[in-house]
Amino acid sequence: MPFYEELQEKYADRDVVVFNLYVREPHAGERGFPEIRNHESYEHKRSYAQKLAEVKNMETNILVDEMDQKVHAMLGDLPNTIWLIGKDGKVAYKCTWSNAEHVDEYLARMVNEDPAFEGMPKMEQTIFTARAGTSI
Amino acid sequence: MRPANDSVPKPWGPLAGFWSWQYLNLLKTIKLVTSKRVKSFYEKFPNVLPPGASFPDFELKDIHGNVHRTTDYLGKKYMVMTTGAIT
Repeated sequence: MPFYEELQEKYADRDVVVFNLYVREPHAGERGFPEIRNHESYEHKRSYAQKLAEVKNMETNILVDEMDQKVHAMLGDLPNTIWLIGKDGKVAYKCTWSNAEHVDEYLARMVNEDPAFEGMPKMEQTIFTARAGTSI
Repeated sequence: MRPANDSVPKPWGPLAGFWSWQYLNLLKTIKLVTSKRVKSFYEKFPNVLPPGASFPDFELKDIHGNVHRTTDYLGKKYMVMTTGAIT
């Protein structure tokens, strides 16, 4: 299970929504993806994202960026980056390489400090990059 | 607690990183991680939407055609947004 899925599942009752932004295809034609090619149109791109989500059994929201990577450009064109955004719309944490341990640690702290969840069990960091699923 | 603007090296991941060798082109990967492009990524990372910055407003469709606007979640949800590859 990709760790984004673990996050979505773990924090399902804590007002957390996980988005994966599908931008340009970084692994087109590589060993594990011989049938994957560079995107030729938005629909082509969307169909790949849909197929990959099915193969990997992903339930998180996969947003498909436009062909000109408009949103990715707004986010600095950074690959493999992860942002945690608070309910105030401000960036609370960001990290290179989507490191599961660090993301989980920050997210747990954010929801634990939210008065809306007072009385609910405290969340702890339990997700590890090294234990992520490896199947495609 | 980690710094909130957290620039870390690529984690090895499962099986000490060997899991990805069966999927990726090793030579391409080595060229990429040692490239100027990746170096520039680390250089500009701290200044791009740092902690405390307002996250940009945008709307995009998901794979099912549903439209998501970031403003729809403001004040209601914590958002996790990643640009990590799904291949």
